[in-house]
Amino acid sequence: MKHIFHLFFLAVLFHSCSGENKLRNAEVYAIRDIGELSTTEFIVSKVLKINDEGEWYKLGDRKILISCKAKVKAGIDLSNIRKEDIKIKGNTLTVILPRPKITTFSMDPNSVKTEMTNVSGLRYSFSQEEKNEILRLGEKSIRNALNETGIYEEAVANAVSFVREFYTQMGFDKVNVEIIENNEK
Amino acid sequence: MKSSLRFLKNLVALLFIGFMGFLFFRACEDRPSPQALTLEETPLHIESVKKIAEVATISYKDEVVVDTVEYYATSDQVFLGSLEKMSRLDFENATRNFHVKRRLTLLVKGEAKIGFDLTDNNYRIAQNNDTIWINFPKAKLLDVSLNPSQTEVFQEDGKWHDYTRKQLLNKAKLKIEKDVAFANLFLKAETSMSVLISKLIRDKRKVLIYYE
Repeated sequence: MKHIFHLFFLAVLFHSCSGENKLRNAEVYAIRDIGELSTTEFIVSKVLKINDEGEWYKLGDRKILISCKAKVKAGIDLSNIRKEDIKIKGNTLTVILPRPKITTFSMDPNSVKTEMTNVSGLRYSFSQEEKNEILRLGEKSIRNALNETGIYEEAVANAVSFVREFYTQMGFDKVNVEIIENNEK
Repeated sequence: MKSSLRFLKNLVALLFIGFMGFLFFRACEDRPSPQALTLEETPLHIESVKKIAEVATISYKDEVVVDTVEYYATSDQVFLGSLEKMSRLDFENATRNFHVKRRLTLLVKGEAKIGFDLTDNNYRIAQNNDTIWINFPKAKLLDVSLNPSQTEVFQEDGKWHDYTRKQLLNKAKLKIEKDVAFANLFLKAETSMSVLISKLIRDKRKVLIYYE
């Protein structure tokens, strides 16, 4: 009986210890050094449309329209510029910049508005959890469509202009700015 | 007298059957799974395009819990509230959290970026044969990003309006902004900027960077 009690005590102790480790591993939020140059800011909007007709046994349907806006910034990561990416020959400087990326994506909660909801029959009305899920889908959809907006091209053009101006102020007569072709860095 | 009693009995039986039918359909419906929702295709509108020049040198990520709760004021309200919860098949809250009228708890992950706004060449460079002087503006909070993909509705009891969710998200944003100010990340951002600029300037001259 005593042995069984000891085994049970050890099992409880082991279980509690493993739980604590799990919690520690999850704490990954931190302060991080970055070096992002954002050169363009797009404000985009989208209407999120859900028509939930449901299964045959569900009486009624549910419809919702939510309008939302996102602020998207794009630019380049200056910390990815390596030593060999900057070449100086006399008064001419050549710099190779990394490929552009989305630096900031933010959907301001104040610019989200439920435009219309229609719930009929015995269906539940849309919960806040469901509305958040709809916004998640909207965020994913906006992120996927960013390629077609021309934000990357705009970011590159502005980054080239900024970097050229910076090195010109440093006293270089000629500044060549190139963008790396592949993303293998 | 007998017939009216029978009519009353039938009426009660009918109401009972109707109520059971209502519960049956609610049970079939179950609580809809948010994952089952599908978005219909709609176009993306570009509202504005702006040329900027912001250098972010510090990223601060945090997770905050924001919560709002309402309690019943009287025991009558507790009783009626429990009945109402049961009619929604919300037995757990009807029996365990019977004193709670409604509750909304969000888990929000946000990211703050601290750096420098150099839009319209908002910096100055001066130099002579042995020194380069660079004047940058002071570091500031550039963005606090809160996105639905990083937001979890942890608990939702009762019906809530969008306004409350927005209020909670704004509260989370404010908390992250306060944490940034408290951690004095602006000074750290300036140190990181100096390191970054030193890497970008391949020059043997002395480089002095000021933030004003």
